[in-house]
Amino acid sequence: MASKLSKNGAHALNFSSGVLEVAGVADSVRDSILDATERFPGTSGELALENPAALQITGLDKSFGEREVLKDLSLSVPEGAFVAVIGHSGCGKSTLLRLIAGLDEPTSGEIALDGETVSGINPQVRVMFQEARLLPWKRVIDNVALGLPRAARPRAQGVLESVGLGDRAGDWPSILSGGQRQRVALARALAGAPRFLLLDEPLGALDALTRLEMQALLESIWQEHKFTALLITHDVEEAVTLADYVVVMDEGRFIVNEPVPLPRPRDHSDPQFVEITQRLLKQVRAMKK
Amino acid sequence: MSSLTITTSEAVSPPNPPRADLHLVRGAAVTAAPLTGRGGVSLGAQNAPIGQLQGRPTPAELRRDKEKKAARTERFFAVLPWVLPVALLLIWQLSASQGWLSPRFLPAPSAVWGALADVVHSGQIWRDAGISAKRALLGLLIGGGLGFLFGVINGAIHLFDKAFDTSMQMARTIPNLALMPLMILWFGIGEETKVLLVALGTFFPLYLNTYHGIRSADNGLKEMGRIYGLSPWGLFAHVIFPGALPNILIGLRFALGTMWLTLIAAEGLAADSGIGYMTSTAREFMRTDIVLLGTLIYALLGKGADLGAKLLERTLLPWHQNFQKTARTR
Repeated sequence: MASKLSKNGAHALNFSSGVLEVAGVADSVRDSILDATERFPGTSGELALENPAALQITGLDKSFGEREVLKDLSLSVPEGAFVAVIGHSGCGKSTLLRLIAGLDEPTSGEIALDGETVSGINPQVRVMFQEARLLPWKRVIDNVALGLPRAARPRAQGVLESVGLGDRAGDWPSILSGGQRQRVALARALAGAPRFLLLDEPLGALDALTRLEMQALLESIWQEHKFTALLITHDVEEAVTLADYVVVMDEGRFIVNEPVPLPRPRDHSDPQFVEITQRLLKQVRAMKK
Repeated sequence: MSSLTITTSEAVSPPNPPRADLHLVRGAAVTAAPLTGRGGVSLGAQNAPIGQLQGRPTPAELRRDKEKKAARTERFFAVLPWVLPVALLLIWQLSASQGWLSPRFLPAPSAVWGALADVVHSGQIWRDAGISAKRALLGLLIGGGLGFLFGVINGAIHLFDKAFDTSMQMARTIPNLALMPLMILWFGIGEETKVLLVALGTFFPLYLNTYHGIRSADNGLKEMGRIYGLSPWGLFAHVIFPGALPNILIGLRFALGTMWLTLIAAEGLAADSGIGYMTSTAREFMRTDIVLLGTLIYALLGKGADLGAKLLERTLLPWHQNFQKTARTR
């Protein structure tokens, strides 16, 4: 537990030393972020960067015709961090994810992964969607191995086992439950050993119990594989459970970011957990008109 | 299987009888079915030996009962589809043998059977049925094959879609049989006329369904495939085409329908062999039995083609919900 703590501590330090920047923040919100960092003394300080950011977003704009969806976003995520983006539907979080995945191009600004500007699809990036998006005509194992070179196929069975579905390799996806399908989708994402995992509300359609199980699984897999994760969700508690930082988005801007310097696995009844969750909930509610 | 019936008055009258009353009826009891108050309640205790688990049937017995029931249901549903045709056949035979039906209007099934024996004996049936089947399959191969090919190309490649689809949609509104006079003018009553008509008739069902299947590929799956590194060809082979396959097979079954329809019409008007020719000649000689026989053979050939298509679906779509039973066994 102690080592996990110090790992999180390190992320938090990076955050307050300017790695995670929030652009276009209203003064009052900025104050509340300052409050937040003051409340967690371990997070303040002027440490120099140890690593360059794994994900660097600079001045990102995206418009569809007249409609501005993303407005001057900047964000910097250190390697191996888990970032959650929360916000109401239509605030632009999915658009952001599509841009990072290389499925769309920014109107202006830049996204860099490991220092390289994103242009098109990158094998280092895998995405999990709200729906599992398994191919119904391929058996579970072939879904996991999708897009892998033949030599890497034995890996597929290994990852399938690591998500607890080793014995379902020969099944058709249609006979799996919703939670099992998402686990297969997770295995498929991991099979390519990506450095970035983008999660577009992957647990949004699951029932409450399965959700909790999946959160625990995601956390342990993330700790084991050490990829950089970006989770999009509108469940504040889920964000606080999983993320090192929670970024709140409203109408295409980042308005808040909140470090979560708590030991893992997180206890939902921990007063600090409750406090952070409550503060974020308040902010999310405040932006609803 | 026996059921015990409570007839004691204690068990009938009170709305909430004390349990002791129910124990009067040995064993059947405690499952306590609600009392109807109408004079008798039957509680199902099946062949229960006295004193064993309060008389409930053992799990093994229950299972055996269930299996028996399932087997009976299965037999029932295997027989059910044939009840109506067999009944009709019997009524038909009876009406003919009683003289209620003129043989010229509708000869008895036995007479049709006799006609079948004749044509089988003379070998005419094999020749005609063989020729008809050959025309049908050749036409399907040419027309269906081209329809499939154009469906895939127009569905998958935007340029071809723009160039050809509108023309296809216009051409498809022409009934293929309307072209028969033209075909006869061009090719006489040779093989080309029949095969071409069948080809025209099978082209459009396959074209339309293939095109639709390819075009309606799931965007979410396509996006996923791109993210997971599939090349355009890989995307087609792993995502788009398998997704379109159910539609393509529906197209095939439609094509089989039009295939026989076209062939019957074409063989009746422009042929000197084949089942259609056999029946139209028989009509001229007032051989109603042979006409009926020809109709029956068409039905059998059609059914055979349909079975083939179903078998193809089973083989090609093991993942499809409709065939999950076979899929699960593996």
